[in-house]
Amino acid sequence: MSSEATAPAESGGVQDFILERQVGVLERAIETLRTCPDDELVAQTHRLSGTLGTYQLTEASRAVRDLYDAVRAEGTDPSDTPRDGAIAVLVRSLDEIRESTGGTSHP
Amino acid sequence: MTDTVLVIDDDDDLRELVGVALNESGYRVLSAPDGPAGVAAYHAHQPDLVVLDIGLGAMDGLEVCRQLRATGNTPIVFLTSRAEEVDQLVGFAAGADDYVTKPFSPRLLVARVGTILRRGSAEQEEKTHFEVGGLVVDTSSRTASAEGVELDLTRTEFDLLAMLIENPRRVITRDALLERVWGSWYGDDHVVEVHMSRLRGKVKAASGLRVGVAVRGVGYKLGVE
Repeated sequence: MSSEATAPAESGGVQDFILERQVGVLERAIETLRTCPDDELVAQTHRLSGTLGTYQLTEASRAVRDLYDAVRAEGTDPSDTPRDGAIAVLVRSLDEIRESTGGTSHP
Repeated sequence: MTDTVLVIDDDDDLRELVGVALNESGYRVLSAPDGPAGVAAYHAHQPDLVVLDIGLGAMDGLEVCRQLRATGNTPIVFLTSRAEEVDQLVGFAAGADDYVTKPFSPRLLVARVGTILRRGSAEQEEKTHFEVGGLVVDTSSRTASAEGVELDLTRTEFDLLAMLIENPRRVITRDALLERVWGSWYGDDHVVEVHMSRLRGKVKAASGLRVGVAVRGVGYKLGVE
């Protein structure tokens, strides 16, 4: 069981929808963090943190929120802020979910 | 009758999730991916409530809220990642009825939506007496007056006036007026213009007041002058 899968359940179909979509949400978030230009990093991490958390991906949301705080800190150049740490957390979450649901591991 | 909720959010994943959650609870859901599309959907469908993301693109949620508030009083619930108090104050100043901070539980959002809609319909059910700028309408006794002069209105004219005064800040579309006053109408929708013109004439003759301002291509608003 993934550590990301322990959040309180929503009702019926909503919980099913969330679990069904978690992999896709994480994949899109990883792709965004890898490819988004530095000048969009604040906006994207701000958005992704909320989306990941709402999809009950708590650790991933927190990692992206930490990256947002780091990028937003006064005087920080986004190009100096390593994204690798947050991306690693998201990849780990993705692998855990895939393992728990019998899917393939992230490359 | 099923309440309709318009969800305006540029994040596809969140918009879909909110739609699923509202749908499961029995709401009819419309969605829009940006501000201009949201404003257009609002005017086209006249939803009962709007769920609006603050962090939209070029036209942000606060601007969308101001535009919706300029023509109506439909409840608005903001979705935002900005938990700071200052953002909440700005949101409420722009006309939001409630605020949900991301990340959020869809169940909580649906509960908030339900509370606001129930409160709104309870207020609507209780209210039968309306006064705006010299115009007085009582829908329980079906009487109306302008500047103290009782108006002699037909059933259709009274129903038109009642719908406008019940929604004094909102533009009512021709379709909404047709549905409310005539029910299922398959004829010429100029029937609205004809009866609205008669209503205007009677109010003006009795009091000098002007009511029923046409909003080109959309419908009418009360606009008492």
